[in-house]
Amino acid sequence: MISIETSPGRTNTESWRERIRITRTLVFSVIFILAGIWILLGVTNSIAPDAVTRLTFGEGGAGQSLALDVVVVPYMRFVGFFYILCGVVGLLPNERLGRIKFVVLLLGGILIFPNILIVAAAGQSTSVTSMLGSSLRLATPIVIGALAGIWCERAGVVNIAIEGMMLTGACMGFVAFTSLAGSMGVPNAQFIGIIVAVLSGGLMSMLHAWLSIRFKTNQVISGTVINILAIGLTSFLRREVLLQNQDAGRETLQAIRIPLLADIPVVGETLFNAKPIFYMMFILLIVTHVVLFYTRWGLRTRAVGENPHAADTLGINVNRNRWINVIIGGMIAGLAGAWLTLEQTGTFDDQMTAGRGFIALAAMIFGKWLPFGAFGGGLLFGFASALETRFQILGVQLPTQFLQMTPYIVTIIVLAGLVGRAIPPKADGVPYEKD
Amino acid sequence: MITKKRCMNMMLVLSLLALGIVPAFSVAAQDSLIESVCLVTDVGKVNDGTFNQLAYEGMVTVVEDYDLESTYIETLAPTDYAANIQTCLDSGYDVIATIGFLMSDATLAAASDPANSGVYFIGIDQGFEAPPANLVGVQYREDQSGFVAGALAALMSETGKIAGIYGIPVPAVVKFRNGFEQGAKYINPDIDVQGVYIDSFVDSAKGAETATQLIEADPENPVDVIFGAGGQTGSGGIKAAAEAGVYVIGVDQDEYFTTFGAGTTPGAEFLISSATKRVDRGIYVPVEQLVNGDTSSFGTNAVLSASNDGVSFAPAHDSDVPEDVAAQLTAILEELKAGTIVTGVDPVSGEMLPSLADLVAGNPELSVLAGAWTDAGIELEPGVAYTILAPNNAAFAAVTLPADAPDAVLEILMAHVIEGAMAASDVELPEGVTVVTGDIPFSQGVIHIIDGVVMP
Repeated sequence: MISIETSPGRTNTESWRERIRITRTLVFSVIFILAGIWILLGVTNSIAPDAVTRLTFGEGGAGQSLALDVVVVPYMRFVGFFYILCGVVGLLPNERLGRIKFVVLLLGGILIFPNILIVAAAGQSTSVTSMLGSSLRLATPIVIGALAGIWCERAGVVNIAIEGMMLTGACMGFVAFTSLAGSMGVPNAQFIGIIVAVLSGGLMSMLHAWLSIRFKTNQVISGTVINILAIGLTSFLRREVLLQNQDAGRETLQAIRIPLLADIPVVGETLFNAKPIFYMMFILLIVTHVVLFYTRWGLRTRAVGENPHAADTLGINVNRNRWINVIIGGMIAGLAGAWLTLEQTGTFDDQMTAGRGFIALAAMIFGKWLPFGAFGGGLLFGFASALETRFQILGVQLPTQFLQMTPYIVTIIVLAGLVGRAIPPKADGVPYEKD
Repeated sequence: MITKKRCMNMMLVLSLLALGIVPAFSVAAQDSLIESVCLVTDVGKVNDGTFNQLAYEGMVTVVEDYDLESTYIETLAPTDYAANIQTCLDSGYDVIATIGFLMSDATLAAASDPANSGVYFIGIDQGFEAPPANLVGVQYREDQSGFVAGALAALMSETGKIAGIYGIPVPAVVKFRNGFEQGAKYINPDIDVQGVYIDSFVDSAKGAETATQLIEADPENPVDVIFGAGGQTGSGGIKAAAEAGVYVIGVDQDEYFTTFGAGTTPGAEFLISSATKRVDRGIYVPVEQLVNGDTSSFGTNAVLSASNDGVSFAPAHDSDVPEDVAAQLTAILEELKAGTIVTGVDPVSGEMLPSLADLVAGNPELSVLAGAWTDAGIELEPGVAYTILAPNNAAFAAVTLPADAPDAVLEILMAHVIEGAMAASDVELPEGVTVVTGDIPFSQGVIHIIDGVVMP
C-alpha cells in the first residue's frame, strides 16, 4: 500500500518515531485502566472488607511514633478509580496535554509502591520510616558507586571496575581498621580505615587509568581485569591477614546525631541520626553536581568526554584530565566499599559486594550520567530491595523467587516506562589518540 | 574463547603441580579400601570460617587419625565443579568428597561414570534418588537443630514475635527454616514467626539491613529474637541484630567463636546459641568406614541427625539464658533423638510434610475414618510423634460402630493412635488385621493403613 505524504518536510522515519512515542503513552494509559479495573474487581474483593493497615511513622518507642490507619478496601477503591482516571487522561487526544499526561502517569507510577505496601500489610502494622531508612541505606553504596562511575565516564573512560574498586576499598579499609584498632583505639582506626579504603580504591583506578589511557587497552577488558584481580587480592588478604588474626566481627561506625535537625518529626531520626558515609553520599552528590556543571574543571571534563579532539584544540590536556577524573572516581568507589565493611557490617567476606558495583553502573546509566539522576536510580534500587524484604516480613503469599525479582522488575518498568533512551557521553570508552 | 581455554588449562596444570607436591609418606592399614582423600569445596575457601572449613577440618582429622594422603581444591566458580572433580580423579585419589548441595549433579555424574567405579564419592549436603554403589549422599537433619533453635527463640521472646534471616532456599536452608518455625510453635502455638530469604550466601550487608528492617518494621511490637541461617548473609544479619541488642541464634558451627570472635565482638552477649551441624563428621564417618573396609553406607543416603550427634545446639556462652531454659532445650534434643518429638519436616526436600487431616482427607479409601475422626474432634498434641493406624473403608464396613455413643467411638479411635513413631514392621496388630500400606510419613509421625478396626 502506498501512503501519500501530505507534508513534504516530513520523512518516513519521523512519522514512525511519532507513532512510537504516541504508542508508549497509549500503552501505559491502557495498562493503567486495566490495573484500575483489576484493583476494583480483583484486589478489593480478595481483602477482608474491614482490614486496616496501620502505617507507623517515626522510630523509637511505641509512645513516640505517629500512626496512620488506612482502611484498605475503600482506599483501594479510590486508587482504582484514580488509575482509571489517569489512563483516561493519558488517552485524551489533545496534544497540548503532553506535560500533564506525563505528570499524571508518573504520579500513578510512583503511587504503585505505597499502594503495594498498603495491600501487602493489610491487617498488620508496618513502619514507613524504617522503609525509608532501609531504602536510603541500601541505596548508599549504589549511589556512591554510581557517582564514581559518573566521574570516570563523564571524562570518557568506561568504568566497569567499580565492583572491583569497591571490593578492594572494603577489604583494605577493614584490614587497616582491624590492624590499627588495638594501638590507636576504635574510632581513630575506623577513620584511618576509611582513608585507606578511599586510597586503595584510587590505587586500583590508577591501574585502570594506566591500562586504558596510557596503553589504550579496551576499557571493558581493563575493567574486567581489575574486577578479577580484586577478588583474588581481597580473598588472599582475608585469608592471610584477617583469618590469621582471628578478627571476626568488629564494631561498625557510630551514628552521628545532628542536633535540631534530628528532632524533626517523622524523618529526623532517619535522615539526621545516621552513620558518616550515609552523610557523605549527600555531600558527594552535591559536590559532584556542582563540580560537573558549575566549575571550569567540570566543563573541561565534559568537553573531554564528549569531544576530546575539540577540547585538545582548546588547550585542554585530555589525558591528564582523564587520569585525574578516573582516580577521583576510584577513590569514591573505595568509599562505597568502606560503607560495606566499616559502616554496615563490621566484617569482611569474600565477594561481599555481591554485584553492587554493577547495579551502581545501571543506576548511573538510567540516571543518564547525571548525579541526581544516579541518586534517583540508586534510591529506586534501594527501595525495591527494601520492599522485597518487607514483603517477606509481612508474609506475602508469593513464591520467594518472585519477590526477589522485585528490584529488577521495578528497574525494567522504570527504564522502559519513564526514563527512555539514555545517551552516554559521546567519547565514552574511546581512548584518546592525538592523530 | 581461546584465552579462556588456555587459562583453564593453565589452572589445571597448576592444580596438578600442587597435587604433585603433596608428601606421600603414609602406609595404609592392611584392610583399608582407600589410601587417599581429595576434597573439592563449594565456591569458597577451606578457611572460610564456616561450611567449607568444617568439612576441611573433618578431612584433616580423619587423614591424621588413619594416616592417609589428602589434598583439596577450592572451587572458584560453579562452572568449575566438574573440572575440579576430574582433577582429583586424574590424580588418582581413592575418595572424592564434594561439599555442598549445588555440587550434587557434578558429583552424581562423576560417580555414575563406569570409568570411576573404583573411586568412592562422598557428597555433603547432597541427596540422591538412587545413588550408585560408590557414592554416599550425606544429609543432615537441619530441621532438628532448627527445631531446638526455634524452641529457644520462643522461650526467650517477650513480644511473641521472632524471625529468621535465610540464604538461598536450598534444601538445607529450607530445613533450618521449617524446623525453626515448628520448634517455635511447639513452645508457643500462637507465636508470630517471620522469615526472609536472601538470594546470596555472601551478602552480609543485605543480611544486616534485613535484620534492621525486621527489628524496626513494627516498632509497636518488634521482633526480639533473630535466627540467621544463610552463610555470611545470615552471620551479617545476626551480627547487626546483636549489636542492636536483640537476641540472636547462629548456625552450622558455634558462631560465638567465628562471627563473634570468642566474645570480643560487640553484641556477643546477645548470642544465645547456634544451631549446629557437624559437617566435619559427614566426611569423617564415611572415610573411617572405608578405612575399616565397610562400604555399607555407600549406595545410600546417610542421614546425620540428632540421634547420631550430626546436629545439635551450641552453649549460651556470655548470654543470660536461664538454666531452666537450657535444661528444657536438652530435654527437647533428647526427645528428638528418641523420636518422641518430630519436626514435621521432610528430611529430603525440607518442605513441611502433609498434616494428618490433609493426608486422610486426600485419600478416598479413608473417607469413613476422616468423618469419624472429625466427629470425635481428636487433636494431636503439636510436636509429639504418633503412629496412626488408619483402617480403610472396607475395614469400617465390616464392623458396626456403636450408634449414639460418642465416647465409645472415641475410645475405639484412640486405640488407633499410638504415641511415638513406629515402623510398620514394629507395630503389634491384633489377629487378622494386616497392614495394607505402611510407613506413610505425615507431619507428626507415620501412618499405616490397615484392613481391620482395632477394638480396645
